[in-house]
Amino acid sequence: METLLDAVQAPAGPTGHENIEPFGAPERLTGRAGKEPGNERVFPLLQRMAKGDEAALRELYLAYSRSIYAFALRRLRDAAEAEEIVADTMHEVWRHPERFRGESKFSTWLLGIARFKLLSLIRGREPQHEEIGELEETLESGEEGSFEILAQKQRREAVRQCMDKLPPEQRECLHLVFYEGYALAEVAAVLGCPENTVKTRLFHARRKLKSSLRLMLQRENVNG
Amino acid sequence: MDEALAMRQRFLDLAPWHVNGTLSPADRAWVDEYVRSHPEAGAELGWYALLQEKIRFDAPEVPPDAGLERLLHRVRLER
Repeated sequence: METLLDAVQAPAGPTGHENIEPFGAPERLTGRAGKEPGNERVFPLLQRMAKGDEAALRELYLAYSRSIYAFALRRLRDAAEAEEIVADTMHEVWRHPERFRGESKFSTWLLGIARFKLLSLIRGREPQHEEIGELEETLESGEEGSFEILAQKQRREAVRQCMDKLPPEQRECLHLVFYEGYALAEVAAVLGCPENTVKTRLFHARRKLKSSLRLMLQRENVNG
Repeated sequence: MDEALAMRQRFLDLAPWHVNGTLSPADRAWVDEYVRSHPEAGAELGWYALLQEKIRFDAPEVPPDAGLERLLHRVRLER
């Protein structure tokens, strides 16, 4: 029998978008949202979990743990803490499976729980552990080409470093948009903020990334 | 606001969603048309596409069952 994990990992069908809203997404979309099983696959598992069925918990865990882990790691940057968030999130679902009412995609609801858990974890940390993350912005933003040049040089590490310097709210926003492949409303739902806030965070992330990459290129040119 | 500026702002608002494939058909068509009449805007879409590729490339490789046994142990202890 096909499990949820099979559905998540299965190669895309002719369109690759059988389970998402008919937004006319292009075939090149390969984000996780495009592979997500529909809620009709999740509800039976939740019903079984309500009766204490561990096999249902196992199946749900295998299907969604990577998504929660990636989201938590992007924000926390600590593998052990990210794994803890996965376990805490799935434990919450195990204890209260009836709380999912199908008003959103299951993964959106799940990442909302994960975010609540990780924010609680961050609040419990010593203050110095949570980054401020503001980049030095001595250069004007908006110049095209810095990212492309770096990509051509295969400087993936440099890009990662620049992303790591973004404030956590902007990093998680980029993750939901480009890793999960969520729509604007879904990102806003996970983050619990207005859609305009999502747009603003994306705008600032873009500007800071470009500035940071330009700065890095300039330093390379000076040193090279 | 200047109309050209407003259109540019709308394009920038829509660009990430164009790249991740979640725009409505109407908004997608608007962006495509904007890029046709403003070729320099294509670089912006290309930038987001590369960023998307990078973010997906960077995704951590972790076994899906990592931490599962510990969770099951925790669940059993609560019974």
